[in-house]
Amino acid sequence: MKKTFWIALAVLAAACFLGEPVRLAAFSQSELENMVPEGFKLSVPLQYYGTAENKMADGSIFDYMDGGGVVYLERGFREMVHGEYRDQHGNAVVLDIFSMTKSEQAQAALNDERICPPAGTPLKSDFIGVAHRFPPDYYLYFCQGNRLVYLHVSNDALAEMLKRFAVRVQKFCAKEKK
Amino acid sequence: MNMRKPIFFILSALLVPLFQQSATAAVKVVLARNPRAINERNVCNALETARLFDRALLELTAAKTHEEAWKMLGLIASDTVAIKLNCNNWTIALNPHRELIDALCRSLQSVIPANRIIIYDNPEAALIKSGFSINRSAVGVRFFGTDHGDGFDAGERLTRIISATASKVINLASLKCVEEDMVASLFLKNHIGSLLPEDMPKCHNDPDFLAEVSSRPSIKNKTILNLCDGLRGSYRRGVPWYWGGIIMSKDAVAGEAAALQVINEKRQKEKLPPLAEPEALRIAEIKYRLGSRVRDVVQTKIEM
Repeated sequence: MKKTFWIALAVLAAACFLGEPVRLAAFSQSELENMVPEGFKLSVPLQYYGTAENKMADGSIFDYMDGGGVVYLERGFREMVHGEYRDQHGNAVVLDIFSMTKSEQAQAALNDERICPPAGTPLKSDFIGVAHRFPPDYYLYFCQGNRLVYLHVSNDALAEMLKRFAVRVQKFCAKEKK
Repeated sequence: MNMRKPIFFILSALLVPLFQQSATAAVKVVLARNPRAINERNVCNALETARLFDRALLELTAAKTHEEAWKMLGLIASDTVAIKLNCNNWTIALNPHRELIDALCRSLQSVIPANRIIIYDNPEAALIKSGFSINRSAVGVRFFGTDHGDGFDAGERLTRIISATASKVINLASLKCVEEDMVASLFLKNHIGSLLPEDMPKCHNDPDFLAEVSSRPSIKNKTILNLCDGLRGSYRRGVPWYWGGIIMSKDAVAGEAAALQVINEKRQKEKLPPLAEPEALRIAEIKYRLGSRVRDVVQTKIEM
């Protein structure tokens, strides 16, 4: 038990010395890196953002979405992962997984019109979420536990592909710890 | 009693404001629309977009040629022009359309060579993501980010692209509604991207800061045109529509007020409450004297 404690302490100290930002401990990074929409590839490495007080590898939510981050903070935002994918035709997919402190906060964020515009089409099956089609854009928001997921594709003809990717993201979030 | 003096003062009191008013009545805003410039899938028609731009520029300056128009706006042959874009595309793509930028650059080349036009944003990655190719070479229009640009001016805390390299500035914003405390992301907000990165978050919940940035000499004294790309805009956060137009003014405050009016007209049609006037805009007019919101503003609407 003592040995484990000292090893953990040494790892922590090494991380501090190297100045390595703490990444999203709650996510299986390699699994997330390998999970891409059909026909797409990650165009830039996954990015991780925290709060202004608790920055992640790529900074705070303000580094990602500028002033819009205030609304997410009001809804209990803790950290997020951002993925960008491209296919050979130049279409782009964006994935954002926002981790809130509590499930109710993720739900409240989904219902917050400042985050998710009203009058979207409810998603079918097991999803708690909505989709918006603003040609050529198509995007959807859904909740899974304490997480709010945003998925966007630059070409709404690929809406069905995006929904299939959403199912995989949902399953991934469901088995991840808080 | 000599009555001449009191009469002179009374006449002065009556006439001086009239002259002042006519002297400041030059604030002009052009709102030009051409539905053929863009389709419902955000694809621009280059020819129609160029016609839209040309018509608006000539209307704004009352000039007959591009060369004459730019000279009236203060551009001279030895100038270097920096054009600030807003490529932050979070949720919905509202970056300036390439076809509009091409029309602007072609027009500028009636006075200056292409290589003395610099198109920038912060960060460079946002330019690339919006479909622009980085060009720092000595040939053609230059494109790069403030993070890979000419460094930052220690005094003004702005990119040296505008404080040192460029002698003139064009503010090219997008018609973007963000609601919250800022209300919209237009001309004032656009120059937040010209700041030192560590200063950028200061604009949140601080309308005075937001307005003050545009009063810094390199922005206030060098800006010759404020142009808003409203070919596709948003009237509520994350909800776009194809307005199919552009807004143009020398006056950032008047231009911003006109852009808000366009957004509010759409909101009214969608039965949404109007956006409140942003505090930053009021401060920009009254405290920093960056322009005029309503008074002495002449709006010209063009429907093509």
